[in-house]
Amino acid sequence: MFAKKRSQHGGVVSSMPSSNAKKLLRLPHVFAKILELPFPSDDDVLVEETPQFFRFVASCNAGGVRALAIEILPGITKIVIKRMDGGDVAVAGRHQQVPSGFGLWRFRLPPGTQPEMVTAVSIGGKLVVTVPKIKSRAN
Amino acid sequence: MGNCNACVRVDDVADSNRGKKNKKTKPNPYAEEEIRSGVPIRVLKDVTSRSLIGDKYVIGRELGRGEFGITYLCTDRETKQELACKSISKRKLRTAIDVEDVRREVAIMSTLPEHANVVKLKATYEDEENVHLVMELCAGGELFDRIVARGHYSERAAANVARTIAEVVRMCHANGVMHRDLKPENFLFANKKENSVLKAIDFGLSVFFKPGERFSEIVGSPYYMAPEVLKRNYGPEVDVWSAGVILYILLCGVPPFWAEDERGVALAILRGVIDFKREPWPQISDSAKSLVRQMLEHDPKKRLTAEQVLEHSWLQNAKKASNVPLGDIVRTRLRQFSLMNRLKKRALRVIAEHLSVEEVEIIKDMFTLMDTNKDGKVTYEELKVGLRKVGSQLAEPEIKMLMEVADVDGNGVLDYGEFVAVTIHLQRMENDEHFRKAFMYFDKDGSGYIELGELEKALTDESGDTDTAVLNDIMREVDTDRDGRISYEEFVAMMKTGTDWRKASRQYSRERFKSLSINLMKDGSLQLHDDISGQAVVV
Repeated sequence: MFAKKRSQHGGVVSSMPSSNAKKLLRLPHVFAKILELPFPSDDDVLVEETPQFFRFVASCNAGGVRALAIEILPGITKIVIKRMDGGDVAVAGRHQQVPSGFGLWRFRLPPGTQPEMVTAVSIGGKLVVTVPKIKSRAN
Repeated sequence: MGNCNACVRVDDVADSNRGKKNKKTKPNPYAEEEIRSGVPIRVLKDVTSRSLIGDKYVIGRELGRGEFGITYLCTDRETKQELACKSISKRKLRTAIDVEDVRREVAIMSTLPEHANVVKLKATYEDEENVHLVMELCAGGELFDRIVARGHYSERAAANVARTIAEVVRMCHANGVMHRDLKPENFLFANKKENSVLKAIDFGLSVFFKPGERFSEIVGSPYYMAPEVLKRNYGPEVDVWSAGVILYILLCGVPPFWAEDERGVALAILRGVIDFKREPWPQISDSAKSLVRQMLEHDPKKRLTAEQVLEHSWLQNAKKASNVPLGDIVRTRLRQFSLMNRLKKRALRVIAEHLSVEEVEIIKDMFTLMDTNKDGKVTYEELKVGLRKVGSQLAEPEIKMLMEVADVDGNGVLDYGEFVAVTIHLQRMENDEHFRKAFMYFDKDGSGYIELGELEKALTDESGDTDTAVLNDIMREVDTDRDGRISYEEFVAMMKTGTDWRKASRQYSRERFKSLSINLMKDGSLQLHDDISGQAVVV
């Protein structure tokens, strides 16, 4: 007689290489304070620095926008620009929004800035983003 | 600074396409103060030469681009040597920190001793618009791309890569340099060969350190950052953590700390739970897992140093490690199938006919999915498209091999029986009940043996005419006790020939089959009932 040897089933379904590729992405660097604008990384953005703030100005037809300071962890803050309804601003030349942010215009904000106080306004075809600096005692 | 890839080949860029962008700055109506003057910044302090890069090098086609630079092929005018030139636009150097990073990158690359696994910086130039770093050319592509293409590495191949990375870390630390941005995108192969030398290419976030010095600046890349970087108190041990993440990825294809967004990744890193349950980890040696665990030790004081990594037994004994990436199991199985005698192939078809409804349903649906013109046969093109549809990663040579070995009658297409036979073989049977039924199919008179006449009859049914020599060959091969007939024991032994695979492959095959099944369901091709879809359905 030959006993049945039915093998054990179960276990986690494995990932195929094709699904692996979706999980291993090229991602941009992490910094303590970073500003990300909805433009390709090569776009012309005017960067103005004064003792009180950094200001960024670029051509943009996004309509109403707002700036969000996302706290990734305590001590790590990323500023992103969203539409008033919370949706993503379309990036020129980019067919599909890549959640990783790779290839977007980014600016590493110096330690003396206050990203949580960021403001953004879209006016006259221009996006204007202002990030205040921490007021020094000397002022 | 950033991801500068010296080797991804893109179409040639004509010189005129790299003309200057002469956009003048428009007056800013919102300025409260005068805009800072447009005088170009000086990045490199001690430029050794006043000459321009074009004086010595011919700048050629674009090889790739990263976050901060574009890399071009360049040729030495005198020696004709081909090199890579990473050009960093000053427009990208948006803060003093960025400028300082480039200065430090040049200083570090100039300071590190020559090493086979670190790309060599040959010269630096600066003009009004760019900083140019001329480096040796690495033409073999990124480690990142090879990982994605392969899915994951065999243990032996992974050990070779890990040794190189650990050696780079050891050498950096011995020279007072912390890399801070180790990741597969920052390693290039020198050439296209499988065994090419691997080189570290980017020191844009690196920093000099003294023993015992602590750092608090948050820099790095998601997936690869050490938990103590996120806690803003770290030293050079962070590089060993990053190397451990890379090793985990080499062995299984996905990062150990993964989530949908940056915050999720950071939290996963801080939590530090390493998944060794997912495929293919159960098939990976305990020694490899031991090394990964010790490199991803949460407490930097207890984490292995780069030297200790190099001394670990798994790296020391790399030549003994398995050199069969699990994806190769399919290829090996196909080779086995082609060597089978025709009785065994016929038996597999008989077994297919006796599979339960549930067991055969998925195979049948796969066949139907691939048979796009519904003529009851699968051509090579249909097979190729169908395999892609179910998410298979078989390469073209493997698909051709599959077609050749499965097509038993050699007519150039797979009929349903042939398709099922090879599918069952790839799944590696475990159920002896199937053997019994198949045996009884051939043993027409129920004598308990397959006689020559019965064998002839069974194989004639299939091929139309049977060569006596073929029958005698089969009998000689299977009838091990030479009594002129095939007993049940001999039959089972034949069916199990080539089954001496290690246990791991059996489990992997089942998982792969289930993955194919899951993909079919996602594809919408399968109409399984709820009570079936939750079950494993392998033979």
